[in-house]
Amino acid sequence: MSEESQMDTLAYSSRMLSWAPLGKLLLVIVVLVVNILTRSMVVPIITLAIGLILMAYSTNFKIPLFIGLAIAEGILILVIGAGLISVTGSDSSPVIWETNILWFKIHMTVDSFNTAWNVFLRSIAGITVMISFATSTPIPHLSQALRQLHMPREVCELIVLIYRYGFLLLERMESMWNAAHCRMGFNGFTNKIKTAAAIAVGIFTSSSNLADKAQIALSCRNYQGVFPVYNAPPKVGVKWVVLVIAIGVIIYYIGINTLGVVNMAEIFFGKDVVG
Amino acid sequence: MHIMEGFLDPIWCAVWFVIAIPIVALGAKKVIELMRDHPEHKMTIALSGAFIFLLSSLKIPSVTGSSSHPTGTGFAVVMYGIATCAFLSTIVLIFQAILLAHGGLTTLGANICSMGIIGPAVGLGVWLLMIKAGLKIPVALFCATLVADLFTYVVTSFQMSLNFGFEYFVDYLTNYAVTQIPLAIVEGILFFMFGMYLINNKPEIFDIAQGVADAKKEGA
Repeated sequence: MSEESQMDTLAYSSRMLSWAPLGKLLLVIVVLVVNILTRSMVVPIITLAIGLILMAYSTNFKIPLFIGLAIAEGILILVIGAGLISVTGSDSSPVIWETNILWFKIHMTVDSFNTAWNVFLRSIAGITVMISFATSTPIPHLSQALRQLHMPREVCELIVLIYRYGFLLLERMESMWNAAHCRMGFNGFTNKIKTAAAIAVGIFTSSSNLADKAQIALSCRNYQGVFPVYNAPPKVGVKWVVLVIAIGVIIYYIGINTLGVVNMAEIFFGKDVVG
Repeated sequence: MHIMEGFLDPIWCAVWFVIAIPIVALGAKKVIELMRDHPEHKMTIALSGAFIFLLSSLKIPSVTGSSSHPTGTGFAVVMYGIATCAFLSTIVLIFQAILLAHGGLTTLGANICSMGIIGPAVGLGVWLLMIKAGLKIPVALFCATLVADLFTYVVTSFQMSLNFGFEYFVDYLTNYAVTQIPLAIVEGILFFMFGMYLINNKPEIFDIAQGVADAKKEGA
């Protein structure tokens, strides 16, 4: 099954499919914003819990392999980012670790260590919330939801088309990639670059051909710029808005009342170091 | 190079959104007008967005031993200009954030500014200068892509340091340089070859590229 089909199958079989797409989008945005509003470590932990619960309810954590790999890469990037934040502390906080490695001065402080953990947890929590949305909302549903927000018809249409053709081109690229691999196209650094460039050109050329063909094919089907959704999801109502605002306010309230409750530097290095 | 979800404080998220929104809106307006006036170009625009999405999934080797992906916006800006590039980048960045966990929704404004506006704008400046100077398209494409990629990373480092303390700007620059400078060079080489292939097989593609028509007129 293609990657796009896997995503679509996952979204269409989600237990959250019948939830209002705009409601889900609103929930995700509010949770993500509240997630960064306070510096309490408890807030990202709550957000992470919400994300995990939604993912479990929506899809039982079934995620297509390519998305799983992309998430793993994303987590690796944020580990590096958070690591960098932790070793660039200011002088106003007690030092945990200080040394020089090549040109780089490592200056890990209690504040920078806690900030790094806060950022790391916020990121992981944000990822789970966004993935739970992506795996429960087919893109045509999202497009219709955006129409409710009076987004121009062309923009909604473009979102669906880019999504559809993005995955189509991705599949073509995968075939070309495998073919080139079989022909030892990735043997050595220069070959790798040459092959990657040739594949990029091949995809670009085929994408312009595809654009012509798709235009004709859609016109033949009386395409008027709308992808109809016959089993339309419910529209967002007052209940959704009230629920989302309530969740946001509760999390924010917990956040401002739990500042400094979780101190990662103390957990990892003990009270003596933190002072 | 994306800033991940949760990395920026609310104030900086808001600032970067405020900067990005007018340019993205201008790009959206341009694209909507184009789609209304020329519905036959609809698929070409969609495929251009899909191509940026695809390029950011194209793993290319980096000399540090790892692999990374091009931003693809250096080429897009050369073909369609800054505002359209910013608009298409916004859609792609949203997909990358919610589907691939690269970037984020609260950091979307910052990522649009670095990857969709400022980096490509500097790349476009280099492209226009080189095309005006009469350099060949693949060479101009190499420089534009390299500079666009480098400035994307410089702006990202700047955004990170504004959030976490400006005194660390150099630290962020030097640390990310280990992967980003080789990556920018490799992306430049990739697009140089891309330009060579296109010039040999489909040279008419560059007729709509920024500044090319003017350069041809001046040459004639």
